[in-house]
Amino acid sequence: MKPQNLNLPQDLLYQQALAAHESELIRFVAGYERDPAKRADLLQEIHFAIWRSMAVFKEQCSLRTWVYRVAHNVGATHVQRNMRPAEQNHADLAALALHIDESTDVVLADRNLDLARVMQFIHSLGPLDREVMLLYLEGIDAATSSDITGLSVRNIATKIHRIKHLLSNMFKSGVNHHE
Amino acid sequence: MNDENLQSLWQSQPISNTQSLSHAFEHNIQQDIRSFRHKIASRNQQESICAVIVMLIFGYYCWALPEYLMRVGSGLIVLGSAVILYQLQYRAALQELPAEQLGLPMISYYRAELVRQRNMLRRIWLYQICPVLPGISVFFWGMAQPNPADFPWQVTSVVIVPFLVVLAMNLNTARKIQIEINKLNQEIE
Repeated sequence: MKPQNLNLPQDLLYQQALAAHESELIRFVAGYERDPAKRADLLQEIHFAIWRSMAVFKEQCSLRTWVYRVAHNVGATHVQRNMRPAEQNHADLAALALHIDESTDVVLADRNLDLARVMQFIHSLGPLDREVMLLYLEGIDAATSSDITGLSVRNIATKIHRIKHLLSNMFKSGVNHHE
Repeated sequence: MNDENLQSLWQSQPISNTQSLSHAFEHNIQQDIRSFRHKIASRNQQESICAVIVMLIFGYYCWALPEYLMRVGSGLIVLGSAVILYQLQYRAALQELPAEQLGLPMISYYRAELVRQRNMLRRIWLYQICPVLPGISVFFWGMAQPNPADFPWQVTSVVIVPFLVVLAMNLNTARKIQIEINKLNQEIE
């Protein structure tokens, strides 16, 4: 299993994937692990999974789609493995709507706080909703997201609509609270 | 905040020192692979150590105890623990997913993973409890000699209750996973 020669097609594909999608991978990791100290481990695990998967990558889809799939699959497994019992039930989008309306008590002062709230929202989502949200934040269109997640385009569009509505409420509540 | 602002907020977030790991392949891949394999191997280490301790203790009983049935029971417990140990090794080997599976869309990947975990939890009694059950029964029967009617059978609850609690916890987790699978099925429909 140990790579003796770092110029195999598998290695070259991995390097190509890394060069093109390094930043997204790091942001995905932030979406799947709330503890900054543990993010390096998860990133390492994702890197290894991507390298391993390149052995069977036969252009079934674009390289980006493949890399995103692997990264999100490893991320979802990581979340599931490391969940405390109290976190086992992820909120669905409908339940979160109530939660956001009722418990907005953080004052949004600057970009960092906005980002912290977005991050908190992401970490409260189940794997599929989380993946859709992260893809939306990366600016990936619904058709590509459908290819990556396996959900229908319509389902993706519905989820994104609900996510945007929730985020909009979240920020509005924050602004009102600030005023 | 509109789409553009939100996406810009996300995409312009400061990237921490995790970025240095992005060049892991060129510099540290050998170490990464070792570390990854170590993680996989250590997952079942604790359970394996427990099984080995049980084997050592009952191996000693098998040789040292005066009562014949207790010695037979101890021997059966050692065999049962060996079966559990084998199962742990076998399952550890299965934990490394085929590379093809890593590139599946998440809904397929995640569903398959949940089904695997649910099945494992539902069958845990089969490979973690059943193998030692005959040995424990014979061992207790040996303890109850020479007159089983006088033996305080309540003592057996020390073993039976933890088994039942573990079983119930696993089945409860399997039930929660099934709920998660049902939700995914709805997403697919």
